[in-house]
Formats: sequence, structure tokens, C-alpha cells
Amino acid sequence: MSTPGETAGETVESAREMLPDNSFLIQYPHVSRVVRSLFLTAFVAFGIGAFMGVLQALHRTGIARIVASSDYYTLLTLHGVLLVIVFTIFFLAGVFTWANTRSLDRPPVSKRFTWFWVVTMSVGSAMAGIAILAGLIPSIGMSADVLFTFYAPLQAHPLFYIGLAVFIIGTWLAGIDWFRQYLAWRGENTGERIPLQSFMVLTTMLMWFIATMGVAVEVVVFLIPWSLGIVPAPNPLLTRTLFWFFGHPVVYFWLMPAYLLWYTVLPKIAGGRLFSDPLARVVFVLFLLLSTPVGIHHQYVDPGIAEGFKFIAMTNTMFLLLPSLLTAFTVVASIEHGARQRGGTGYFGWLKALPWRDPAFTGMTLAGLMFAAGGFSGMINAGMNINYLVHNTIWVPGHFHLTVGTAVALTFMAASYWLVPRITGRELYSRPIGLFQVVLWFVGMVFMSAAMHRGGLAGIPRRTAEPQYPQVTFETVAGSVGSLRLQLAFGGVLLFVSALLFLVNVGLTAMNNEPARGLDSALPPALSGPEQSPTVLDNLKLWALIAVVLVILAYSLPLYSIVQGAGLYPPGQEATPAVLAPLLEVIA
Amino acid sequence: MSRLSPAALLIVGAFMVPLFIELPVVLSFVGVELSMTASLGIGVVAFTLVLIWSEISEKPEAADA
Repeated sequence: MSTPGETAGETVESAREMLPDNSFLIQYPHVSRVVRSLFLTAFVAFGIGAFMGVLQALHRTGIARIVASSDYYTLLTLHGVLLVIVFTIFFLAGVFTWANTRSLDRPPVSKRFTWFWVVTMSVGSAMAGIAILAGLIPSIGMSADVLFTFYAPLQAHPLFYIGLAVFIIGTWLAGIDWFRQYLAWRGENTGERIPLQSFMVLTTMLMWFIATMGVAVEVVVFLIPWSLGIVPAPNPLLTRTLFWFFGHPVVYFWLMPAYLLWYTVLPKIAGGRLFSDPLARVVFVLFLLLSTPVGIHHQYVDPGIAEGFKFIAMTNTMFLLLPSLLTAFTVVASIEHGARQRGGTGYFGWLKALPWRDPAFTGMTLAGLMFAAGGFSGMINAGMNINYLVHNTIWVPGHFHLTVGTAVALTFMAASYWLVPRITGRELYSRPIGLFQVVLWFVGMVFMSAAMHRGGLAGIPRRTAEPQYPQVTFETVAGSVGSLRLQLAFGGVLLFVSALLFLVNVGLTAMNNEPARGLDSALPPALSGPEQSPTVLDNLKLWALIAVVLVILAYSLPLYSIVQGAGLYPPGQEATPAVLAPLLEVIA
Repeated sequence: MSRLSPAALLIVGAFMVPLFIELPVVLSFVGVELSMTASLGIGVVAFTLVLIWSEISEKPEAADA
């Protein structure tokens, strides 16, 4: 708590003097400042995005309509972009900066370069955010109500696309920074195995470099020139395919940092050790190989792609279940080991010995549990035949609110309770509030996501402010549509309250003058260490090459077929920088 | 002395929520209709029973400890 009479600067210095020498903040004060800056941007985006979320939940359920339905899509775009682009990626950039530095035991090569990519990402985010927000003020004449899935024929203001391009370049520079840090380490550690956290950062970034090729071509070659009026409207199917080339692996870009935290931090908090370092490496290699050649599974109902290509995408997607199941086994085994170290016994009695009072542990564990549920609904989405039942229904947001909205977001919030004291040197303001907050997120998401899944099974559409149709009656499996709407809105409100509690708790932690305790930055070695795995696992060039080959095999023929079928700029397609007119024109 | 700490009660309560939200769906597969309100009401009763069980000590001497 704050100490009256002291200035903020004096209290911070006195608090730091009380920190152990091996704490991350003392060893790497500059890197800690970078991570704090990234987290601050992430949390601001999270707050705004969460507010947009509760407005949508209340609007489409008819509980409270604060904005006009025509502005709903602005809120929806802001919700999507701020939460799944800005919040997640800024936070994971902070986690990766911390993890790469901690595990390699050295700071990034150049402070100036590090701040350059932080500023680049921030400027890009601000440009995209301004373009979206301007849509709420018609007199400005700028809008970007194209949702997170920003492909043609919906068109946004050029500022939105240019901002996205700048942001992506910023993430590439961040990846280059982490690779430079690794190469500097490698120069002094020839023949050593790559430290696990650094291995996870590098494989994730290799996957990201490959995955963002699709969105880079979509935005730079087609969308920016189109929005500037230089070229005609591009082939919608082509831009959709290029978007989903990136749009599915981005899910793993959010998820792999959460896995990093589950594999390396969660066992420590549980009082144990990672069960298997080799299995963790195998999982990350599998994600590098399989994350990208699967995007066409988002396009099962697109008529311009042959069924055979969709079948290949489905097969690849089902293979992705393997690393997730390996993770479930390894993480639970690690937690059980921790519980038994704490005195837990019996087949299930060890569960009682876990540190459930710790919000970081409970939050990450609940997030993992919800990810299992999200995985099951994901299998429905991934199946070509059964996908038709739920395609473009509210089932899909129900699914990804379990994955990115809980497995990732709740893990990030829970990890913040562990990580923020380590980069600020300040004690967490309130553990009980933190515990209540993560449980409230879990409960809120159970209410909201269950209602979304059941609504989707009844055929209720997604991405609409007005999910009511006079000639259509939605039949639910159990209960009424009215009860589902209430359940969805109630869950949304709980989630918003939880988000507020998180931001208040983290904000008060940042201002807390009580020095943090127990900041040992060392992570315990794995029970089965890297020496028990083949060294080929660390051959990043080999895995990157195989990943590129798999992407070429999965995408070259479909893309060739799309371009051959309708060309790059099919005649008869026009669009203006408006919200819905382009879509209506194309439909007409 | 309570069997469960406030934190443990919170966790147990959280795990009960999905059970009682999905109960009407599961019952509908066997032809039993249960409203969401009734299901959540059963959930509240169940949690209250857990709470009472938690607050009643196993041994009298435990309460004196």
C-alpha cells in the first residue's frame, strides 16, 4: 500500500532496494520498462474492447440499446481488432520479451531497435483504431466497419489498412529482435540446447513470419491500392483465402504464448516441475508445421474452392488436435507432480493440495479447462459436414470466446498477477480480488458461451445487430430463445465486471508502493530434460523449411484455381468507402 | 473449523455453474423438460448444501482448535 509523505520516485527506489538481486527487474531494468510499456497498451486496448463487448451483448439481446444498430458494426470491429490484435499481440510481445531475455540470460542486442518495433506496433494500432472509431462520427467521413475479418468486398478507409500493415511490420521487427538476441547467445553457447522458453518464442515467430505472408499480400497488394482508388475491387474469394491463410494461424499466435506460460510458469506456481521438456518442444514444432496449411477450413461454404482442397485442410486441422492433447497430458502431469510435492496423495486427492488461492494458478487452470471445451466445439467447426450446421451462426463466437476469449485472455490475466510484480517490483494489490476476478470470468464465460453454442445450434446468426427475423422461428434444444438471450447478456455483464476488476487490480498494483516478495526469476528444470530429446528438434531451419513446403502444398493449387476462375479483379465489382453498400451491391 | 476455505468454496461453486447450466440440455435428450430457472435454482440449493456441509465440523474438538 502507499506510504504517505513519500514522493512516488523515492518510494519506487526504496522498493527496488528491497528486491533480491536475482529478480528480473534488478537484472534487466530496461527490458522491464519495455515489457511494462507493452502491457500498458495491451491493458488499455483490453478495457476499451471489453466495454464494446458488453455493449454488443446488451444490444443484440435487446436488453439495452445504447447505440444505433447501424453503429453496432463499428463496435464489433473495435471489439475484435482491439482484443484479438492489440490486446493479445501486445501482451504476448511483452511475455516473449520477458521470456527470451530470462531464458537466454541476456538483454536484446539494441535498446534502440527494441523501442523502434514497440513504437511501430503502437503507431500501427493507433492508425487502425482511429479509422474504426471515426466511424462513430459521420462528419469525419472515415470508417472501417469491416470487422476483424477484413477482406473484400467490405471496404475500410486506407488509414485502417495502412495501420494494420505498419502493425504487422512492427511484429516482424519484434521477431527479428528476438532472433538477434538468440543468435548473440548462440555465438557464446555453441552446441548448447536452446533454452525452452526461447525455443518456444522462436518457433512461434517462425510460424508468424510464414502466416503473415498471406495477410501482407492481401493488405499491401489488394486492399490498400483498392481503398486508395488505384485498382478496382479485388476478387473477394482471393482476399478471403489470403485472409484465412493468416486468420487461422493467428489463433496459434495467441495460443502459443499461453502454452509457454502453461508449460513453464504454471508448474512452478503449482510447486512442481515441467513433466517433459522434449514433449514441449515437439508440441511447438507441430504448431509451427501445422498452424498455417489449415486456413481453408474457414471456407467450407465458399463455392469457388474445390471440395478436395477443403478435405486436405480438414485433415491438417484434425492433426492439430495432437499437440493440444499432448499439452493437456504434459501440463496436467506437471501440475500433479507439483501437488504431490506439496503433500497431495491419492488418485484425485492431490487436487486439494494445489494452490487454488493463487489467482495466477487458478486463472490459468480454469483457462486450460475451458480450452478443452473450446477444443471440442472446434472439432465441430473443423468437420466439413457438420460445420454446415453451425457455419456463420452464433455458435462460432461461442467457440472462440472459449479459445481466445478464455484460454488465451484468462491465461494472460492470470499470468499478469504473477508477471506484473516481476516487472514493476510492486506487490500484487489484492490476491482475493484477483481470485474472485478469474473465477468470475470463468462463470461469466460459461453463461455466455453456453448460450451462444445453443443459440448457434438453433440457427441464430452471428455478426448482426438484429438477430430477429419475422418469418423465422428459432427452435432451441432446451429452454426458449428469450432465456438464451438473458443468459448471454448476463454472462456478458459478468465478463465486463471481471475485466474491470482485473484492470483496477493491476492498476492499483502498478501504484502500490509495497515491494513485491518472492521474485526469484529462476524456473525449475524439467523432470525429463532437453538432453533426453533428439537434437534435431532444435534445428529451426529444417522445421521452417518443412512448414513452408506444407504451406505451398496446401495453398498453391487453390490459389491458382481461384485466380484462374475469376481473375484478380473480376468485372462488375464496385465498392466505395462505405459501411454496407459494397456488400449490398455485390449481393444485388 | 470449516472443511472448505472461502477460496475452495469459490472454486467448488465455479465448477458447479457449468453443470447446472447444461443440466436442462442433458435432460432434454432423455425427454425431461427442465427450465433454466429451475436448474439454476437446484444449483443454488446444491451449493447451499455444500456450504452447510463445509461449515459443520467433522469432529467437535476441531471446532475448539
